[in-house]
Amino acid sequence: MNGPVLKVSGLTVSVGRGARRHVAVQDVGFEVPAGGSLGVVGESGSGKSLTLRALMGLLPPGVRAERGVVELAGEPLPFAGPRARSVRRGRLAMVFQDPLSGLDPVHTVGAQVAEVPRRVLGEPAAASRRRAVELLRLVGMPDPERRSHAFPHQLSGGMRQRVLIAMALASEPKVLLCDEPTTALDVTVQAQVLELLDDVRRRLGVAVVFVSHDLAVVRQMCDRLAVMYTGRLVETGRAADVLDHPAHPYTLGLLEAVVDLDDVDHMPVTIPGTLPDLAHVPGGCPFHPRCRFASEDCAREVPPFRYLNDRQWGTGEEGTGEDGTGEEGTGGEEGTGGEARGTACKYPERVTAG
Amino acid sequence: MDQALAVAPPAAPPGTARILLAADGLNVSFPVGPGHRLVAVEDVSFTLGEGETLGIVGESGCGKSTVAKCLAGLLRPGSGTVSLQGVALPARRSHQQHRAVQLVFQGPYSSLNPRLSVRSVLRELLLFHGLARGDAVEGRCRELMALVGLPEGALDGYPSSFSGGQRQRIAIARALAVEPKVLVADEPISALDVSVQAAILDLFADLRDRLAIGTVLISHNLAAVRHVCDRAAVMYLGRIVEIGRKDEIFADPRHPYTRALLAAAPRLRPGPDRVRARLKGEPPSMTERPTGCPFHPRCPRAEAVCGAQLPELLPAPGGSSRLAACHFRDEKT
Amino acid sequence: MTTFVGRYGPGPAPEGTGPDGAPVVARKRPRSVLAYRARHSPTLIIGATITLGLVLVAVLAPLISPYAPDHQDLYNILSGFSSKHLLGTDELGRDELSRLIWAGRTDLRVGILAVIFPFCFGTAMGTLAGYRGGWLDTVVMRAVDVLIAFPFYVLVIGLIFVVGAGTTGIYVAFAVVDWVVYARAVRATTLVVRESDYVAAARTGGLPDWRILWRHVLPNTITQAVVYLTNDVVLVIVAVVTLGYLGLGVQPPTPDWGAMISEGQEFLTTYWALATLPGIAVLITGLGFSLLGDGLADVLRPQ
Repeated sequence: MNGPVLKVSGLTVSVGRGARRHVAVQDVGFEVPAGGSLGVVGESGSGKSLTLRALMGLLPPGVRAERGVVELAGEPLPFAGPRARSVRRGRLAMVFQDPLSGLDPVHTVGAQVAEVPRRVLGEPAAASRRRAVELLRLVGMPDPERRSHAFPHQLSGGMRQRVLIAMALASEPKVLLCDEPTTALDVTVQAQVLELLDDVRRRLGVAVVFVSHDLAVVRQMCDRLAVMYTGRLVETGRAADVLDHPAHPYTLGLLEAVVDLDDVDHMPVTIPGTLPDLAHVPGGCPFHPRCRFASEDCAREVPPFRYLNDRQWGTGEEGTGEDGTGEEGTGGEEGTGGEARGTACKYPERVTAG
Repeated sequence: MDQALAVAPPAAPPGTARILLAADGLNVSFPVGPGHRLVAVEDVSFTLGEGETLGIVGESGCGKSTVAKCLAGLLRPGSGTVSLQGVALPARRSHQQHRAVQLVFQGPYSSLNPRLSVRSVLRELLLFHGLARGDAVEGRCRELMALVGLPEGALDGYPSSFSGGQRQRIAIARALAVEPKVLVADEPISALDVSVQAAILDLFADLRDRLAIGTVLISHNLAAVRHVCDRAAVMYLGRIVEIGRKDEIFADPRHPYTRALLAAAPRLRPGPDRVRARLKGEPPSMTERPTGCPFHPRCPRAEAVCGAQLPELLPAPGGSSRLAACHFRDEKT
Repeated sequence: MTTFVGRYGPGPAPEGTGPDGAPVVARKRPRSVLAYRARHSPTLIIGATITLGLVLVAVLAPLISPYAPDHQDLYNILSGFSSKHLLGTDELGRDELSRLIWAGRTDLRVGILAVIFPFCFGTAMGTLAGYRGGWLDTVVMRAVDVLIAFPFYVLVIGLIFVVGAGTTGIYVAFAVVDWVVYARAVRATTLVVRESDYVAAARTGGLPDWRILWRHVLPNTITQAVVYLTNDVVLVIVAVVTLGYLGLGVQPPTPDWGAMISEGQEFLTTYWALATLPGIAVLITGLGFSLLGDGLADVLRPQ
């Protein structure tokens, strides 16, 4: 299949009405190739979870997707309305953060997994049950035949998360959206679940969009990365490129603030200032009050998101361009979902130098 | 500033400082259902030196929060004692004894009374314990705010007007208000945003340097413990499986569980190929403890002796200050 | 003010400061949030207006009532609405409007006083039971269970027969019967608040239990009791009126809506106003307090 399996452009989501209305996601776009993995990174208020929900057609009441196009294998999906859910069945599935609230406590896990093939794919009951056991085996649940009769509260957190993943895979989606699926899990269990997701991705060719606040986890899991801040996309690119050679001061700030287990000498440095209230985002570049590279024009104009010349930012080689500004619309993102490297900073070269 | 918060003396080499806090043979268990007991903490002993920071790491169910509550006097252990400067603390502590060990709680959103202003909370403690009177109270409040890096204006605020990181600072100020000798922090950063975690860790490191208190930092975040603590203890299923200086523990772990934890933690910058041994199986049930070593059902190194005989916390390699509870503690990674 | 000097040098500005270093304590304090909500709650405003209006009328009765409640105008028995007697007169020539006002004064006074003890006692019992647990909890809750199992009026009437009719009887009866609902509600919230970290922090701070209860637990549990109080006043007033109707409440010659309804019953076909007007008065009182309670519940809900 040519082209990305998932393509999002210009997604804008607003919350509230009238005077209280504010934009929670502004003009977000990215692509995911078939079988690829994209990590979406940000802190609270970054809009990463709302973005996923908009993709899934699961926006809560009072929250509206105002603009934007979501295309699955080339076909646009509506955000709301009667067809919103049905059109996503069997193509898009979501894994939530909290396995306890994602599962119905009064039904066995086997029944819940089997419900998907039965209702979504229309398979008969017995076949659905067999499929459920297969899926539980696929997600690494030991003794799946017997365990499928267990209730959610009888399983550990890691097992419950596997059940959620099984349910998501049961509809044979092309894209799996994961909203912080391992945040509530212990480190060793998280490692198991991440390994499972990676395994599933390779074997079934399912594309994964992985939302997290944990940079180390997305480094491990994802080929590509999108960094969000106050609802806006601030940087995209290959995961290794973004994390090793950040092109936006916020990404650099996050990297400096994170404590890494191996990097013993690096003491974490906090990003000055605080995350702004979404209703009062600073004018101009939203990050400018906290940015040590900011200049006057950063406060005046919102810098547009643009693509960078890949060679300068990917391999660390010295580029031939003088100031590193890329051209709009190039960088290989057309149709390949490829290595598009983008930033919302006007002066990304300051980030490398500083 | 008064004496209790004077600048700390130059740090003695870890392990040689005077012992400030000691836990000895703590056991906590709860009856659940007929004939079953849930063992939360089993035979936990460790010491905390003056000016030292001890990290306790482990996953859910390992009992670290229970240990924190025992240290702070919120929970009475079934057996075992907590001693402060050599004196065992009774089950019902006096005001002074409570003052000496303070707890910083995990969730910044539930650890502050929503109906009291910051100033009220601090004043109440200062006045009750007689730490300041009259006009001095306000000055003390301001000092505490400065100590935790908050502006003076924060004193007027109510919890709902602060962010998570700021609330955590307020909680720390509250703990410091009574001039404790020991600060126990139970997962102080896990509920905070990434960029804010650094600031709070920074604060702990700074307090360690400036004040003559000991700190126990409980966290599942290995990296945080490595950066802030002098020594670390690893807990599994209610027991300490390894304890020692942090560079020993993290660079040369001698217990398979410690190795598994380190291997499982995702890294920001993937280093040279590490042993990516995935830990099999699930955390065991706390009501049905395995025989012998609690870790042996999941341990890649386990042999027959492990299921039969509980390994003791003994020095490894022979003679060092680091202890490991594994029959194969002398094997390097 | 000493500035926070991190171990890495002056470091970034303390969290919570704006870009220019000025302190930023964002958003409103809880008091002004309450005031804001209060101003924007129609239920609260209407309820408060009605209630305050009633209370004012009751308090100012001696000043605004056209006649004394037992003044008899024997030339105008059972007369309809007129300029001399705005709402007419009863069978003894007494001015209806005056009697309504004075009866309201009595019923409101008795109703409000009668809930004070149940509120205080019930809240105290609920708090202690919830916080301490153990045998205290068991004893209190069993008492609550027993009392709640009895139909309200059966108990009240029974007690009045024992103590004797009249206002004393009313106060005693409600003191015994009415505290249980407060106890239950407050105990439930106390159980939750007891487990919160800030209560644990107060305990580790060395504060004694009574202090923790007074400053940390009670302020967070009492809003439920206060809201229930406003509804309870309605219940109690209705009960007072009912008892008056049955002749077991406020005794004549003190005017009381219930007694007025009872006396006016026999004139229902000839002069309906005597029986219905007091009923309408009770209705309006109940409405006022209920709306006030609803409004308060709205305003006091947790942020």
